[in-house]
Amino acid sequence: MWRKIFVLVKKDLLAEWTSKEILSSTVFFSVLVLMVFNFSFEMVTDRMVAGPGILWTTFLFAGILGMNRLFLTEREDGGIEGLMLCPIDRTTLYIAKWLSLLVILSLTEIATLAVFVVFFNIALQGGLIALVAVIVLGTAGLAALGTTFAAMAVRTRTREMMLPMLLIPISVPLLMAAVKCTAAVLGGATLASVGSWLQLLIAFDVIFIAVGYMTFPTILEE
Amino acid sequence: MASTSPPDPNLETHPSGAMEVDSPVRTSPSPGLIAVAAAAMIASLYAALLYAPTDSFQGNVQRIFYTHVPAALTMYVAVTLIFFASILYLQKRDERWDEVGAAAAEVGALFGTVVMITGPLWARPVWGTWWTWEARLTSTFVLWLIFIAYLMLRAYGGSPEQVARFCAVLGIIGFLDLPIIHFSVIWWRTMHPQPVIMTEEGLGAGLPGSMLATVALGLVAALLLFTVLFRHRLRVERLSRQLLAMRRSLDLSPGEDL
Repeated sequence: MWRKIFVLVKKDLLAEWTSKEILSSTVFFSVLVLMVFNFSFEMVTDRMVAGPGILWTTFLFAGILGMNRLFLTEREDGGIEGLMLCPIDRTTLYIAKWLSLLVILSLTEIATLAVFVVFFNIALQGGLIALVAVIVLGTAGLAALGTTFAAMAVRTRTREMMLPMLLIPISVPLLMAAVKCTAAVLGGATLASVGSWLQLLIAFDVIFIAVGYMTFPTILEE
Repeated sequence: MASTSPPDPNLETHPSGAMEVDSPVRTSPSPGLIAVAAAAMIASLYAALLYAPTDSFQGNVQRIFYTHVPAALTMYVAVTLIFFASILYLQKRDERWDEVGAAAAEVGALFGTVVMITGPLWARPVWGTWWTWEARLTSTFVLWLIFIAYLMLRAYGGSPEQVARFCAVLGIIGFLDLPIIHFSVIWWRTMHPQPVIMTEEGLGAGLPGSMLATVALGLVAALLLFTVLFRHRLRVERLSRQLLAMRRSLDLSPGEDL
């Protein structure tokens, strides 16, 4: 199973490496969103008040773009039919897509974070590892729901319009937890001070990776 | 027939076939149920407006409580119904469970809308603000948004069979999200009046007896109304599907005499 996952993820990332279709748009879009936020919050003198929320809103918006793209490409070029003819469990396909999405979103977020630090003049005071941990945990949950919902959305009549409507209400608690943890880390506090939020983040990830894993075959039925 | 328990679709079994025109009547609420629901609504209105004592701090505006809280609880009943219907649909692939989900979602969203309208009306005079991002407001609002997303997915999801599968998945995800939303919004910040019906001292200890009786009556009335509307909606859903099946069968064989 792990070999199959590796091959599938490698396929997605190779396709992205040659076309750079997703990353170029998500990263550019992130820069645009950060610029808009910068103007919108110019009067907020303490950037740390709005910073964590701005960061995660940008992650979410750019993430939605990336999720739609990853699944639309698969759908448009008939790639998914090919995959479904392969002797691969549909549940394996879920893990592979989740990992591909996790990698693509993480790369987008690294670029976003760099721009964020510059624009908002953030001093990352040694909490970089904790920040990376929070971002990975948050992104894992977003990608878990994103894989489920994007696979659904691209099959609906409204296509990519459906994804934000499904994803945003469900991921409200994830965003809250991620924002609280990020605010703690950027403010120089330890992750232990937001232990319950961290637990919520982990619980969210575990629950929705499990549900996504179990329900993915249902979504792919034709 | 005047049963107040949630209708069990298994009791209303009939295989979906184009010719079963008269059988769907069984899903509609019986006249007895409608009469009981109407009586409960009137009694609840009487109790809320005349019987219950005027709140010493909030005055008459507190009486919106007797509509607001039962509607909110009914919305949670609806989301639970959708959850179980979703699981049963994915297990048995029986279209009737999808119909239950569809009907419960629409009527549940209606009760959710009642909550979203009565809440600000109550909050404005009591808290001095229409809206605040307080725990239970936020969680109810997010649940209402999930209801709307579910209805959107139903409307634009594609083929009926695909809609059934997708909505079942969303029904499960949405329900599992509720406890997580609950904790997250409580930890975020809170200002809502602390629960008065179920307190640590026991059930109903926070409320005078007459107020508790009124809200209990309101809940019974809301659940009865939900049952009536749910059954009507279920019947409409079933009829519209049969109509669709008939149209399809006619298209497939245009020369056929009906």
